[in-house]
Amino acid sequence: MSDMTRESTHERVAQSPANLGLRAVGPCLYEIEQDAAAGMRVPARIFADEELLGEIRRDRSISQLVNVTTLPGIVDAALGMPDMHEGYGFPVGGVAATRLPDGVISPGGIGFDINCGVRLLASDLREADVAPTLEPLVHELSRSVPAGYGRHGRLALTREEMDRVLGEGCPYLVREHGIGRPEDLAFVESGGVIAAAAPGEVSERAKRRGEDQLGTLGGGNHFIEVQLVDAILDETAAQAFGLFPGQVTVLVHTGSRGLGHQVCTDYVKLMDEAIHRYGITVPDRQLACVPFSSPEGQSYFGAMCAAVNFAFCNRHVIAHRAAEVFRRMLPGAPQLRLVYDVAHNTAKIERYGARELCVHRKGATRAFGPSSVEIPAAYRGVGQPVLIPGSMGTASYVLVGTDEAAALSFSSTCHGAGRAMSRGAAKRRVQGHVLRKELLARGIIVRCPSNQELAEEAPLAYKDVDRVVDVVHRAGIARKVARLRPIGVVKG
Amino acid sequence: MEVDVSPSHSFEEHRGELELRIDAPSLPLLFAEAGRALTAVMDATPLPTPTGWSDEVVLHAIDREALLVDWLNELVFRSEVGKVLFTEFEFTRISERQLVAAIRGTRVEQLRNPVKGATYNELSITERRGSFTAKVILDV
Repeated sequence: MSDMTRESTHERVAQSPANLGLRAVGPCLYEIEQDAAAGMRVPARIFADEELLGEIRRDRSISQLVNVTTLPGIVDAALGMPDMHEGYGFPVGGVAATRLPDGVISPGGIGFDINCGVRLLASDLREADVAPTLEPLVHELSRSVPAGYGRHGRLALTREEMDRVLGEGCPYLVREHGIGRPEDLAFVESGGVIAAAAPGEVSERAKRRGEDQLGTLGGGNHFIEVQLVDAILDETAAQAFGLFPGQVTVLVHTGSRGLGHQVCTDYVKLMDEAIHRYGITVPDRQLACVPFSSPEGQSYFGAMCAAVNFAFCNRHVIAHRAAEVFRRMLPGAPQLRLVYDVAHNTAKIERYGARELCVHRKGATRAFGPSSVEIPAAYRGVGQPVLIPGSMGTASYVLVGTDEAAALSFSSTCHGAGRAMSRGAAKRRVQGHVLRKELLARGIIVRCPSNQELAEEAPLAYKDVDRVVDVVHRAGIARKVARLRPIGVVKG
Repeated sequence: MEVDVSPSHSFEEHRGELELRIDAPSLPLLFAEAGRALTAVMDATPLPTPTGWSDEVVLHAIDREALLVDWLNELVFRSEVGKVLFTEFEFTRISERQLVAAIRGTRVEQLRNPVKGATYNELSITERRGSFTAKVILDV
């Protein structure tokens, strides 16, 4: 131990975003003009209301968003979602599109937890059907899905199996291992597999970190929740998604675990070393980037897509385990049905008019509208489901993408509540055992290995998800469909 | 004038991360203290003196700041996959761009608070009057 170990907890002082001339330019939309700071190539725009803007100003996320505007090849604007908060280099809740082939790709614009995302399963059950067995049901879910950092799962992949997971995604698990159902694949973003994945570009170190982590939740804000449809806010879309009032649903929130983290670590280092060869300078080393078409850019894109596939597979295995638990605990009940699985941390190649762009979404959700041909056939004419997990014990939302979002936000919207205070600050303000009792008093059963970890994810540590969702609805970058409330939580 | 300071570290907490500050009178002591700080994050309980074995770490980077991130990420990886908390670090070679070290630690059943990685975000190492100060943000 060191001679001196001290801990302090103040919030960092934001770098005067007010001085950057933030001004309202539309419904729930604010802009910092392109000439507000040196090096900006496009404006920065933030979807928020006054209250959320106040929250956002408390950290350095606006300054980070301005830094993102300096990336070579960025088009239109760097975008901040209403749940934006400070991240590593690139803010969480940030979106940046770069023009191909020579615009840059930046691992910091996707983040460490590549394809952290959400999968929603729907049952035909109502609360009364599960109430008598809810506690053992939640307990069995917690036994079936390992949670916590570094925890390993029941599936230990051989190197060949790992490469096939990375390269072939969910269809491989269905076809070769009988995990999940073929009809579910259409309801995973991109069918659960990104064809551009290149397992050979993923380091041995990353594969080693991931080899026993398939089917595990991980820690932090990751969770499985048993929920009830609390309110239907758009009858037509809800019907298309198969949602009805009082329905029991299951929401899975996790990502690519240690494998994705290592991919990001490996390629930030690679790009930090390569960036100068391309004459690029960035205001923060964590924004290290290279042209998309460069060898390093192509290598990262292949590795990142492989990590995306790994995360799709991770949620796929967890959903399979959840379905097994439901079958075991509720004999005779119909199979859980996959509503949708959507990513929050990715870069994808998308076409907007004549432009082919690399759309970085870090803590932001793709939200294609009803006219998109890239969404499940069953949802065309309605729009892509957008799944917004709340903080533990608060509501989650199902939204639907809009066609208007293509012009406003590169078909992107928010991803969750967004952290409002540090884990330590939450622990100092909340006692885990008290929170556990409070949640139980509200009819929410919690399974979490420790009270300390429970306190870290207390609802007060997050922004108000209801307000975040209101903003994206009013701004027109997604519409509200249904609100879900938890009755059982397995915390990662 | 050189200032004689013992190696030390401190933490400053932010929304989803931990900023680590390390002060030391030399680069080897700075890197060793960074290793001890990482272990302190992962498990604050006192550990026995390691015995019997050591691992060799060889790293190359483009500057000393990147070398520090590489060093911490190397320890993160080895801790995670080997379930080891490292507490002793002996540098047989260290410069601004490379290091060779023997590291020793204690095997544990499970890491209490694993660190996910070290980042380049606002990374710095400054040298003033013979004393080094580093700041590095850990993803926790």
